[in-house]
Amino acid sequence: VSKYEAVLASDPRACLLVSVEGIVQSANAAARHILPTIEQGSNLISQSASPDDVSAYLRLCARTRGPIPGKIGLNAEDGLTSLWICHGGLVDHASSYNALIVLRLQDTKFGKAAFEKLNQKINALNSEIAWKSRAELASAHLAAIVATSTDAIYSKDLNKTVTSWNLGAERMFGYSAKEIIGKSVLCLIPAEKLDEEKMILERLIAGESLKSVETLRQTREGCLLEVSITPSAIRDRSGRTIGFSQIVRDITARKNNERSLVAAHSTFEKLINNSPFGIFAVDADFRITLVSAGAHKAFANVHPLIGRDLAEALRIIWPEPEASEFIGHFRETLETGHTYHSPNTVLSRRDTAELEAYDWKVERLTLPDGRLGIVCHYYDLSERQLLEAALRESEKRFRGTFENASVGIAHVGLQGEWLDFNDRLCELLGYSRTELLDRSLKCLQHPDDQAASAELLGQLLAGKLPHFQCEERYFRKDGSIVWVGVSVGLQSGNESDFSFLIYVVRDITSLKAAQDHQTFLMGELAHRSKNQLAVINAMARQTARNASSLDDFSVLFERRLKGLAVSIDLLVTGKWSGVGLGELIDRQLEPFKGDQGRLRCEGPVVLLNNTAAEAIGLALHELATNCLKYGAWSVPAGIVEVTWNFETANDTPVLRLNWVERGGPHVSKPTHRGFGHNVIEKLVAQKLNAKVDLAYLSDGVTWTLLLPSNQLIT
Amino acid sequence: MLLSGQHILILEDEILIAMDLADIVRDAGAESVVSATTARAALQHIAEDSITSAILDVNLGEELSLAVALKLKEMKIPFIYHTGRTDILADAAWPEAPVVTKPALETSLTEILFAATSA
Repeated sequence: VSKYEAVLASDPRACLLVSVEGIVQSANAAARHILPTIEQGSNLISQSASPDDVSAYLRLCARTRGPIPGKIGLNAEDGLTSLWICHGGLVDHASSYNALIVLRLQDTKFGKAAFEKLNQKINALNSEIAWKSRAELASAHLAAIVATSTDAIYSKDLNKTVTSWNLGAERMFGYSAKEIIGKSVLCLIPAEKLDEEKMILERLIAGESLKSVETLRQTREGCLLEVSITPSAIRDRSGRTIGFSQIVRDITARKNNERSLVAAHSTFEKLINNSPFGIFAVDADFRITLVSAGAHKAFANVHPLIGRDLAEALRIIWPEPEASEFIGHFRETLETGHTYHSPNTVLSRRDTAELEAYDWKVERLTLPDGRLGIVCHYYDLSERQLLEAALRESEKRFRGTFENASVGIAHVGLQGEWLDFNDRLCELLGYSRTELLDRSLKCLQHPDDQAASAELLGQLLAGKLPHFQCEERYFRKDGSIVWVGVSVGLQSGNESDFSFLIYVVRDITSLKAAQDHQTFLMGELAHRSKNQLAVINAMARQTARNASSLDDFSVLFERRLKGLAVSIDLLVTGKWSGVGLGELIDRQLEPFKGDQGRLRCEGPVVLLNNTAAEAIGLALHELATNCLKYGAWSVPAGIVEVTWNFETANDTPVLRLNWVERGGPHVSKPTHRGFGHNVIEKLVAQKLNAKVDLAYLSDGVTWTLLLPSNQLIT
Repeated sequence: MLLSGQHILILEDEILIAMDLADIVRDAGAESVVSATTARAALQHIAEDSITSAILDVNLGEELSLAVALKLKEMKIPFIYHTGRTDILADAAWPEAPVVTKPALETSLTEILFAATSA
């Protein structure tokens, strides 16, 4: 066998070495290639399609030298039988049973290669059938789509006659297929679009393919529809245009949507752009798209602004780390939809270094482009804060003025109700705050002053006076009277504000007393200045009438003048508010009394008013003059007793003043009533409305004065 | 004598001056002199006595002598004002009469009163 194997291996043809029983002894590479099922030990007979024929052929070959042609059909794994032409010949016949036969195999038209070709053809046919059935299905689908489409689909021939009309077209235009097929399409086209239609058809005929066109069509009822038409030409096999198809879509709703969208967009833009507040919108790409008029101030240093990245813009305006913090809030809102609100951000800007305050809010919303975006709206609180600070400062100053003023201040409503008053007013009226709240200013007013102040108040409220001042008396809590100077002003408010009165009240009790005193002094001065000279004039003339000589006149007049001066001295010392009787006696009698003990004075402390002091002073002077000249003091032993005390005469208290001379020479009533006598008797009685009794007793003159108590100061 | 036959009323609240005036008019020949310190007393004298002329102080301390001046004018009794307060007389209410300012010279007082009585 191995001897033949080498021969077989060098043969390019497929060669098998088999025994006469059909057992394969060896197969060369070519044979193994074309018959993969054949290997050493395989039984060629049992694998053949007709084992008897193969067995007979092999036996024939074993008996014959030289190649014998024959045919062998072999069963293959795929179930097909391959038919081989073979030339077999005996190569060794050591024994007739063990004879080795070489078979050289040759493919036939029913061989494997031929089968493969056949198979390819069948496959091609199968796929053509499959494609054709799919195409049929697709065509059916298409027909169904066309039939049921909501779009109107129709075709027309070159004469513009409708050749097909789907359900969509029926619905859209109101014509049934039956009605319109065979009729002209021109009824669908409004007059103003006929030229356009003509142009479209011309272009289609020229072979152009057109995209959809937005135009107008009209329905059976004559309603105009906004439509999008997709026209195309229908051609035959030779490429000749035989008609046109049109797909018509009603876009009225879409157009309306578009229009309202455009309107909405422009409203949105207008709203933002014209807002006096700060508003800006940022799109999904974090770019500033809209900025309100009111927001331009904040972004004054960002150029360009529209389309700018918000983060960039914020970093121009604000310092770090706050800028990043703000950007974070904006991004978070854009991503999550959570609204962010900062009621009071106060920060120095990076670009202007100015301190600004904002109340700002970031919200997410769908922008007109249909994408999410954010809108930030804010109030610039900076100016408001400045104003508020100024207001606070002003209020503080006002409050300080109100509370620390040295005068009482009150705000009083038009009905007299308290609105506010300061502590000084409480002190002034002697009430605590709570007590004063329970009382009106008017009820504390002295009844005699109420009419006058009510009159002024009426004029103020009637607008006849801008304000007024008056001096009034109020009762303090302890019942005492306080004189106050009141200035009243009206704060008139408009509708939104209210009107009230402003009282400024100052204590003028001491001022009033000083004024009274001054008025009194002025009166005294006027009285004296007009009369004093006349009095002195009269005194001089009276003295002259009774004087025996010029020297006598000089002495008497000088003394009288001095006596008058003493009284005036005492009045000045007492500040024109009374003179003590004891003091008056001392001073008037000082020049006359001589030795100690010649004058005895006794009486309680009594304060005379100015008139009494002056008149009594003159009388004492004249009494002393006469006493020295003719009475007790004209002799060494004589004394004068001056005593005074209170008593009651006719139920009225009077002051009794006694001048009693003792130890003097005998006196008698003078025959001539001179100046001195007039003063002692008449002047005092008349001036002081007093009772005077002058008696010339044996041991001296007595002079008694009963002085009404109204001449005294208590 | 300038004031012969005159019955003179002196209205003066300052008694020393009244005394002096009385002496002056007496020295000038006055027939009689009455003094009053209040307007009421003066009016009483005018009503009861036969006054032919008068010297009036204007300011009587607690009152003015206007009522007396008006009464004298009504009765056509000549009079003069003797006062230091000529300012008060500026008021038109006061009847016109010669004014002698305090303090006055004896002669001017008698002469002016005389002129008033002779008019």
